[in-house]
Amino acid sequence: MDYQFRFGALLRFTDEIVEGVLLTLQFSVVTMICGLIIGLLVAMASTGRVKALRVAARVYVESIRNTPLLVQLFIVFFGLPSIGIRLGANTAALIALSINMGAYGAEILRAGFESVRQSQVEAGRSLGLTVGQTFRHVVLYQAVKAIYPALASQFVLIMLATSVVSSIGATELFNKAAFIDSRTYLSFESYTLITLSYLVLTLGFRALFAAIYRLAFVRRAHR
Amino acid sequence: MFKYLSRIIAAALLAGAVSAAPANAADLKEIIAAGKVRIGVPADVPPFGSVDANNQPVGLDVDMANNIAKALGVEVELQQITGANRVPYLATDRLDIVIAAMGATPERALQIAFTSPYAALSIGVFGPDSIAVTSAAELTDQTVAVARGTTQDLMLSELAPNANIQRFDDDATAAAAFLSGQTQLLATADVVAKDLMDKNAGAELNPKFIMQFSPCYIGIQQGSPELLRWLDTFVHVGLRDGSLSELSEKWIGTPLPANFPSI
Repeated sequence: MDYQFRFGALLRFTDEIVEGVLLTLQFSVVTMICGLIIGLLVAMASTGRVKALRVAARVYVESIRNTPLLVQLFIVFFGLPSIGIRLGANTAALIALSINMGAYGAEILRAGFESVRQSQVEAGRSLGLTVGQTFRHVVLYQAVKAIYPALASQFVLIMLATSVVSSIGATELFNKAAFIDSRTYLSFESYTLITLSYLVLTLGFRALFAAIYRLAFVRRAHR
Repeated sequence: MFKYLSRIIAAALLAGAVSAAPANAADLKEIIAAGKVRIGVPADVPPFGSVDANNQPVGLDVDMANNIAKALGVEVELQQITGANRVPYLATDRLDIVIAAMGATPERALQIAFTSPYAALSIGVFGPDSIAVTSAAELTDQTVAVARGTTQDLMLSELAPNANIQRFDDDATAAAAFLSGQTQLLATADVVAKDLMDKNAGAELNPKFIMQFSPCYIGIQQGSPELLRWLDTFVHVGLRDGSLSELSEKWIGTPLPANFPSI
């Protein structure tokens, strides 16, 4: 138990770490946005009237939520080239992450839609709102408010899950740590350093989500 | 501790060899008079030596052994050996020659004698003919797959710091990235490149440039100067007429480099 930490030896890799943090941040933000859009469309499909769309949405959600992200990643990166779709490591990572996030987002949003009672929709329609306006101001607003903590938590989880994409050679934070480890053999230092980086990112995202919640739901409710 | 133990064992083996067969090493004349040569080859080191479907030994070292017996004009008696027992087999006079993808070290040379190298294992960058790269310096935007932290990764990173190197967790994933077309080149051992080509029809893994190679030497008992000279001559001629290079191409997939060293 007399291990001497040598964090100083990692200083020459500062550029690598910064690059890794930026790419992880980029992956996280793009995945959250794309995943939310996919999730919204799929949730609308799965609670909609068209049976074919409902079935398709179920198949998508169940097949993604019941298989490992790593497998989905390998299908996109190593599998798709066989049918002529060749994506770079970072693009493949973004697509697989977004598809994954979409399925979880869809399920959370669906629960939100279902929590808004039918009488609310009828009330909105009888006040003269159009179908679109009812959806936006009555259903979506209440649904998102109800599921916001679950969605925020899922966003943080997908941010942490981005570390998996290093296995297809995407050069995000975890990949950089493995690279530094392979050059310095300072495993403890390398992984401790990125543990702290992930922690800072997570806490940052949580603070941001809390701020958004206050802006979007708390203040508006007082008006 | 282990070093100490292994020294005692080695010393005991040597003493045994010396007392059991004092100056009894079969030199060239004895081998020819006996009409047979005892050669040790590996059984578990493809492509150097392994057993085929009919349980027959095959490989580069097996071909080499047969060629040597043929050139000597004697019968060959093949003995399957392992990495651990190949030196003791020679030291205790059970074999005349060991051809087993063996690297030469000063420690080993205290117990057995080495000829000039007859083959080499190499690490390099491999890919299709359509990519015209002949040295690390020419690598620019071509993508190269490599297993992170391996010798080939460290060497390539040093030789071509600006190359587009994509690092994967292990050799299998790096190979998968190349085979699925995700990268244009693959940095690996020549034996692996050959194996990938044999198992994947259409995969083109021709050597672009070699970064490091480890020569393999033939080992014989000490005290056989005539046999040592003859084997060196055999290897020398084989290097000059290209037959050793052909053998390398047949089993390892790459010809021998032009400036191949000799002892």
